[in-house]
Amino acid sequence: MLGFGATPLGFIIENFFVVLINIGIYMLILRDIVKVFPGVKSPAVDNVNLTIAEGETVVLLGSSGCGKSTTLKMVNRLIEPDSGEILFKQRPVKDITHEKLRRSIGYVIQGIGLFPHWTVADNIGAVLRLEGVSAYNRRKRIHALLEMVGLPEATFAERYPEELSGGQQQRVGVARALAADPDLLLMDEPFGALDGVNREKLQKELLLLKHDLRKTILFVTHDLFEAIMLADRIAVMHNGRLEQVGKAEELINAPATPFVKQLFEKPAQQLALYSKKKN
Amino acid sequence: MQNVLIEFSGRLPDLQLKLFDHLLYLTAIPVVSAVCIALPLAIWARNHHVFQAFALGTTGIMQTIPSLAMLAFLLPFLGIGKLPAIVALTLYALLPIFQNTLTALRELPSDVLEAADGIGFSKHQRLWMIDLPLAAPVIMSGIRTATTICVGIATLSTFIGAGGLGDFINRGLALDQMPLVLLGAGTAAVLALFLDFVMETVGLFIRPGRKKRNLRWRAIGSIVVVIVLFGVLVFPLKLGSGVADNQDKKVIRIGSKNFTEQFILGEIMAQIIENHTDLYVERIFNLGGTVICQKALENGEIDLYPEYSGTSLSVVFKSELQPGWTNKDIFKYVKALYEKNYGFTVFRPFGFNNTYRLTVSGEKADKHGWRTVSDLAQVASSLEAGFTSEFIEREDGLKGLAAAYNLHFRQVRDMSPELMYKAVANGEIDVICAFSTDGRIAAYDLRTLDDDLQFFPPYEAMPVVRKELLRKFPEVEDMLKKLTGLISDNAMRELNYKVDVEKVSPEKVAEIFLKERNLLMK
Repeated sequence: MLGFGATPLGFIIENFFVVLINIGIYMLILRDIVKVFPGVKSPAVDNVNLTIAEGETVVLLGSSGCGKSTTLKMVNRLIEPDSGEILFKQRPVKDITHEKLRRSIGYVIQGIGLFPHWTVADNIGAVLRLEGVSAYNRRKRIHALLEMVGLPEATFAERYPEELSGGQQQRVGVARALAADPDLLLMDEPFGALDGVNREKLQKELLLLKHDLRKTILFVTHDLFEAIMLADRIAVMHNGRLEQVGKAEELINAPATPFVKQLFEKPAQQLALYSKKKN
Repeated sequence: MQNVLIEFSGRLPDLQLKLFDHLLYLTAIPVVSAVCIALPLAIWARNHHVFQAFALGTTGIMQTIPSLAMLAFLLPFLGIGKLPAIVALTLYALLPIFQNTLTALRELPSDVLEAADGIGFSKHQRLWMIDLPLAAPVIMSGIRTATTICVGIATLSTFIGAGGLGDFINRGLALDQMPLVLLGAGTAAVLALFLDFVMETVGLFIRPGRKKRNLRWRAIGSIVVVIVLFGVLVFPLKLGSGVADNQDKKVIRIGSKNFTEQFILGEIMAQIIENHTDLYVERIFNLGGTVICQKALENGEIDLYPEYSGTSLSVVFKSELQPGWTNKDIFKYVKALYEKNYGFTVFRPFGFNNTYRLTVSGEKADKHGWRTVSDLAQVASSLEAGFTSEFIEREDGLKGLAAAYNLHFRQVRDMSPELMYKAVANGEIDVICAFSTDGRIAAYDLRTLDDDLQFFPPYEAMPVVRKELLRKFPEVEDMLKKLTGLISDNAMRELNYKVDVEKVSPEKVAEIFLKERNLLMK
């Protein structure tokens, strides 16, 4: 693979590197995760296994109540699993304190959840402030982040969240999640509450950001097209179970379960219909 | 009008003092204490649902206890004065603050909290940086409500001698002087409005989000109000140094209940003692009833007060009048019990008996030759009576009286005391139940009928005194003895008349009376 394979020594060296790389490239490993909420019969998350490589964007796709958000929230320990193990950079997350874990993972939610009593600048600098970063360094970082998400500092830094549009608010939400330069971003339907135009704009910008910043992203959505657009791999969830994980083409061409097949069938038909019309 | 102004200007120092008490002891301290209790409790209760229900229930029940009942409950533990008032007001202030804090914390936007948790706020950091600032406006409005409640209810703590603006109201009501009532109630209302305005402004400033721009005049107004109130708080402290001098003097404390006759008796005792001895008398008048006076005396918060023998018998010792007892028998009985149970002593009565008396107009009394209740009983079936509802219901009122004298009126009407006196004077009704020393008996030229079968228990006013006081200042004994038998029914009626009808102050009335009897030295 690396070109050494021709000699025995080369084979050993190659496998050594493969092992090394394999350890290094997994940002997140979910092993046999089970979560049952009290008072509910069927498990919300049922024996989920998933690995996410460094720099990869994995989209958890499924309808509401399928356990995709619950899975996401177990990564930063907003919810604790009943059994199973989650490794973040090879460390079990349960060995890391809540605060330390969460400050090293960016978190963006549908409701955005900007702090209404803080300015845009304060909101973006929140994690830095918690980490005790000096005001001067905070300022610099906030400036860079505002530029990154396309909100000019002069206009937006001192505004309050209520003075921003929904799209602008979520840009601030993304900037806030990126403030501490985390390696992993958790995004829980971040664009779900936006109108179509704004959603598309932010999706495109996220693609660009992802490309520039090489962040690992775990993204939750119920929107098939969003999943196809953003994902390196899509993980389809249904009734708490992981149905299939793979690239979009794989899921379309070789659905592993009837659910996945059904999920992708309709859009495929529509697409076919659309292209027929066009021709 | 001018008189009213002069009256008011004369009361300004007093007003300042009462306002100071009202603001600091009866509003600020209770509200701050309630905040210190309710805020941490609500923060803790937020995640303890069982406790939440319990605490809301308890504070809610406290809110429904009538203020006077609350003060009465606390009386055995805390006595009279500022402390029980502060405790009671704190309890009242708890509910709105606790409830608002809890509601505010429970209804914080869940997105914001999830985001805060998700990006790594610790519990502590979230509480101080997110939860409390966001809840602050609602918490503040709870504190506003609590403050308004305190300013209002505080006016009632006058009944346990806690001072404050209620003193004016209570005194005004007792003396039937509306300007005095208005002075107290009006000042309390203005105070409540001022405080509410200032706190509303604070609430607007701590509102989350964009700073509202048109708050400038509000802010200036609030600062002016705060400065004015602060001025009121600070000035009496200077006056207070004058009061502090009294601590070197020998002080005795005279109490009284909250009606005209008691004020006059209190003043008469106070003035004769001050005039003849080097003692300084602190007047703790206006106490809200027999039980409160009794407790205050037990706790040494007052040294003496005027009480009525019949009231001592029924209220303090819960005994009934035995048939055949004379006034002297009752006096001996209560005196013995006071000494045995409480270590108090009782001096011989002032001379009058303030009991129920059937009363008719002077004109009819002369015309028909009515002198006693027995005289009246013979013709009662042709007469119309107007009685207070209390008199009609009491066993020692109409019920017993009718049985004792075989007395049956043609008609008995329920009437308010005010109407009753006027109606009998105008001849609209024939007979009423009056208090024998009421000033209006003289004012309307009415005649009281002798209770010839001695049905009504005697209510002879007499000083009840702590024995300790007499050991410390034996000279008080001689002074109180000078008052024995000094005031007849008629004399007391005249004194009450001067205060109730002619609106002379009790101080002045007492002074004139003592001078007339040559009991005051120049």
